[in-house]
Amino acid sequence: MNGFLWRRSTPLPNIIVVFAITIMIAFAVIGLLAPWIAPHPPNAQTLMMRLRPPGTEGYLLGTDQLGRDVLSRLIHGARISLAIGVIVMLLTAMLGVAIGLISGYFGGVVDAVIMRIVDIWLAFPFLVLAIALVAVLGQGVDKLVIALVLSGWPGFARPVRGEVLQLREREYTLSARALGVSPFGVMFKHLLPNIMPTILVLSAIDLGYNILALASLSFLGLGMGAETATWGGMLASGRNYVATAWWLAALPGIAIFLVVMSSNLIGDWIRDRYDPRSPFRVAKNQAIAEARARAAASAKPAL
Amino acid sequence: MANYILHRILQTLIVVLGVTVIIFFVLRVMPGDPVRLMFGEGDDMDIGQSRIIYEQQLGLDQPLYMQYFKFLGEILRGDFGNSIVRGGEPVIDMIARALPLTIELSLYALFIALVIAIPVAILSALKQNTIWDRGGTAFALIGVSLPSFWQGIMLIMFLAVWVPIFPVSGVMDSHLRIDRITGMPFTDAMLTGNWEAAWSVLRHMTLPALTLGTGICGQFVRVLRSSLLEVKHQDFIDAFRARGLKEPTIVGHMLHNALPTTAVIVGLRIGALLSGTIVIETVFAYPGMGFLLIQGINARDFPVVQGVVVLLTVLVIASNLIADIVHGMLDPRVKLSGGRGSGS
Repeated sequence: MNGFLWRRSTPLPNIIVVFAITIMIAFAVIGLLAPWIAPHPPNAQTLMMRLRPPGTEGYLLGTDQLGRDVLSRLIHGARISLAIGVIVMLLTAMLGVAIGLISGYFGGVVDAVIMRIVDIWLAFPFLVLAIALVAVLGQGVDKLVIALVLSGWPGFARPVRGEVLQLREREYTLSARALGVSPFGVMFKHLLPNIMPTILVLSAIDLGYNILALASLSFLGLGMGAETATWGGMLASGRNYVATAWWLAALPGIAIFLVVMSSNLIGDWIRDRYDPRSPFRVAKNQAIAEARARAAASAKPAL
Repeated sequence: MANYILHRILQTLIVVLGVTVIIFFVLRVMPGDPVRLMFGEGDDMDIGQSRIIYEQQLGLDQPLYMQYFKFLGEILRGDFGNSIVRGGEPVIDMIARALPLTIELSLYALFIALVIAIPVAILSALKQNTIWDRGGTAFALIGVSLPSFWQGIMLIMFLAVWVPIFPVSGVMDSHLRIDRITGMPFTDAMLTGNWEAAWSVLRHMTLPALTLGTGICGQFVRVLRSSLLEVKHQDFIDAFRARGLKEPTIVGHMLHNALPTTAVIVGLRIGALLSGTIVIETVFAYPGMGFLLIQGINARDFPVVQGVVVLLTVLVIASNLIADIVHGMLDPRVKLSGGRGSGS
């Protein structure tokens, strides 16, 4: 694992990736410290100060229709969005990876059954399934998490299974099995570390997806109570004031966009670095090989 | 080919059956007590006698598998029950009104997405690794990451409120009437020669379709760009160039080769498109399937929710099937791989 994390072939990631990682870290820090850095409590209403534009004294990003500070609500929204996004991502990854490992490793009937179930699951439009689940389960953070995990796990299970199908025929897997390592030992000790790059890529993209889905659900008024400061909920109520108070709808959307884009960028970046089949990687390897050949060619006359 | 199609249809039927099982469990079994759900959680009133009547009506007094087969039989007959809220209107009638609206909106969105995606993808593939390519890739990334409902609200703000070019919501101006033929407003207006209504519908649909279209077009750009790049360096393209063919003709040949992959992606993105309509129809108060679904959930009108979920899912499965078959027709290599055309 160490080798994987510390392996470094490029001097530094490019500027856009730095930008994406910075945004992610910034939002994470803001979310973690929300109760201490938010200038006002998220639900504190000052009815005298309703619908004030950004830049108003004491309210950097203005106030909403109930006189609540938009900046504070955005900060608390970051906390909720990222917390739920990360929890859902971890649970989805665990469930999906476990199922994918079992399906790919055991193969045969187990694999056939699991893959049919995955096919059926993937036939649902993601949001439709999540909406139906939330509608049935009712309001609450825990139910929202369950709904998103239940709709999202096949997204991990299928690629992981595909990877395992290839890896289980490799020599190291065969030798581990020949030495009598238990199936779960092989799966978690030998196969899991080797599919880690795939899992990381899927996780990074899944995080963005979860945050988007969460925002969609709270925009539709599903999942969490209206008074909770969620980005989607802020957008939904800000929608009614587009003519008079643009900042109410515009700002939460920018926050969602930044987080989702960053997680997509980070996912792409991890894939480019660790997936040998990615076009960038192939191009880079070619470039390295050519440079070596050129260096060798130019070194020869000197000898 | 016939074998492949048959295989895929059989596979699809199994998936549809599985989907009905899941929907049955999620919407009928998981809520625990549908009667309680219908009356609302907060109510503590004594529903004694009416509970028994409702249980009989819903068939809750029978074993689970009997309930499932009853449910399946009803769906196959197109009987989705009656709305609990709207004076007991049959759900199928409500869907018959909403579905054509959603289909027309989706088609318009698909059209917009392709109109944007094809030139952008060609430009970034031909001028690979230039500023054009970077721009195209950035455009695709932004398209994928933008929350569609936010984009919709921003479009309303800019193009309907600040500069009132397009209407804010609805299907058409309220004084207009369209004779119903297919149920799709624009098509019907065109068919009956009602130009004023057609224009009004088109203007009403433009903002939601634009929102949906740009949302899915990012994915199209990515896929089309990479499949164009694959074709670009193949020998036959060089041969065309050597024979002195004009650049547009060569691009035409490249597009023709990139088409199968793109057709499949379009088919596979129908699900995302329809998911998108749920949110976008709510933003624009466009009374399609998504609007119906959200209204149904808010009113605890479970027969409506169930009907919409079943139909939307079946629609997505059907479009995936069609995409696979089209892929098989366009790309003869698919048949050899034993009917496992799509899904990576």
